[in-house]
Amino acid sequence: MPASSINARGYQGVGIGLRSTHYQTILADRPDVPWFEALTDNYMNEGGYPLHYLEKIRAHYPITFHGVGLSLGGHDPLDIDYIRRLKDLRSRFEPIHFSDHLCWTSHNGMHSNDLLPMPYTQDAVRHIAERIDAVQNILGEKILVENVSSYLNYKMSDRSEAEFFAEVANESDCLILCDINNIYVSAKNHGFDAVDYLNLIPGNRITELHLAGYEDQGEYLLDTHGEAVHAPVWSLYEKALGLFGTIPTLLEWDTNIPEFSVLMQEQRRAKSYWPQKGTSA
Amino acid sequence: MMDAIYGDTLEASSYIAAHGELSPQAQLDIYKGSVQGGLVQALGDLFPATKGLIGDRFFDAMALRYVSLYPSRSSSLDQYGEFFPSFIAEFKPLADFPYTADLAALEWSWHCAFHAQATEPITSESLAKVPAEKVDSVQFLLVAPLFLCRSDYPLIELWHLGRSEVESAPTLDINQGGGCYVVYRDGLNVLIENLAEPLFDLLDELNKPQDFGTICEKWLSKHPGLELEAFSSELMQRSWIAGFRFNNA
Repeated sequence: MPASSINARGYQGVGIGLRSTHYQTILADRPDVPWFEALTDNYMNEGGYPLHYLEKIRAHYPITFHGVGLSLGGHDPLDIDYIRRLKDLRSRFEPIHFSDHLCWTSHNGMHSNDLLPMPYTQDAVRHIAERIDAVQNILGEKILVENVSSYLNYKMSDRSEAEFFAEVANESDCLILCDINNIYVSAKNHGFDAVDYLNLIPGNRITELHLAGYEDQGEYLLDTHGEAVHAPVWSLYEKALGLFGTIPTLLEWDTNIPEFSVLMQEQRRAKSYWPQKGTSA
Repeated sequence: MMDAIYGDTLEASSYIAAHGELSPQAQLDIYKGSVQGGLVQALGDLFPATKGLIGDRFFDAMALRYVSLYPSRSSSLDQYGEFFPSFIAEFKPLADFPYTADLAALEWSWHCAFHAQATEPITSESLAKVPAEKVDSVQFLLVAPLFLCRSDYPLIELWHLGRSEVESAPTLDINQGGGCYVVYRDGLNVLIENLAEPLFDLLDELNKPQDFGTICEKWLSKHPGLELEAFSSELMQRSWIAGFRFNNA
């Protein structure tokens, strides 16, 4: 199993998800953001505008790479060409780490471009853990795996999502990217206790937290990353910080993207939940 | 389940448990809506002028049909939409609006140029290394990205109209004549230009794997009385030649 090779320099505090609409603002204003998260799948092309601006921003900020394309839980063979391109990006941009999701996104060559939940069974634990392990061995480093929001319950599931996540993380020896918003959305959709979820996942593996906004569809919550973080998610975030300590946190906003100043307001709000200097150990 | 997300009939209750107010089918439909809606949105982002021209509702309905026929084959949405122009060309409700497919093809070229790795143009010094007696056997290579699109319709005007980049009420005559369009990059900027036909024809021939002598014959037979040298020089001035190779080497 590869050793963790997370480059921790600059990796602290509350980062912001990098979106193309903000490239110019970031370069012009150099906002006080400790790091940005780049969506790897947006930079898989060979050239052009996105890569150019990522390079410029990387010159001033540490970045993490966050992807949706590994289909870690899928049954199609691992996409070796995709992983090779990840390695090429790593050589070029030296990210703090890679992350992807506890889900599947492709089958028989068809892609959902959306995060589809796993059935929570022993076979599924073994399957996804083996694939995470394979990816980590190819990359030569541990990756972060993130919980997704879900809207359906498989009949075959015989354990909770949190138990499943913990087993996968322990068996694959991966790191955890704990999405607080996704936990809350799934908890409401499936009727489990979000704090119980936090208590069940291995805290020593949690390397990063995510915050985002959902939409209330009436019968369920939809994870759109298109609104400000909701009050119950802030509350759950506060509890997570209490349980796990001050974990680097990312603020995501993917649809209805506002001006960068709005993201900075949300970032400052996230920081306000952190212990003030001099008051924590 | 992936087939069901893309529209195939599948009994959701065979593998999804009812929960709360959501039936198995309702749970599956959330994913169908999210996946299909995401791809429709992606097509709208990739083809904004086409969408603007035919209207959001028509475009979204057409895009949804495309999604059901052409599932995404890549983790990157940047790769999605390659067959959309040819799909539009065969889409019967748009049979009376043939310029729509040409406009979509131009937009796809713009998108590909936007994300492409640009090649460097050849220098005059390098070009001078081609011996005069061997010019006819040389195959010249165009820079990348560079896409060519011939249409019977005024695509640049349609492009601006669809993207709402014209302030006054449109008075566009769709039959005013078409053009010979080239899509290329200047630095990071993607440019679309309507070229004079002789220049476009020269680019079009250079885009095929053939030696320069063959190109000269074809071009001169189509444009008798014109001087090829002037157009060849313009290609160099515009930095559209990337290199050359000897076909009989």
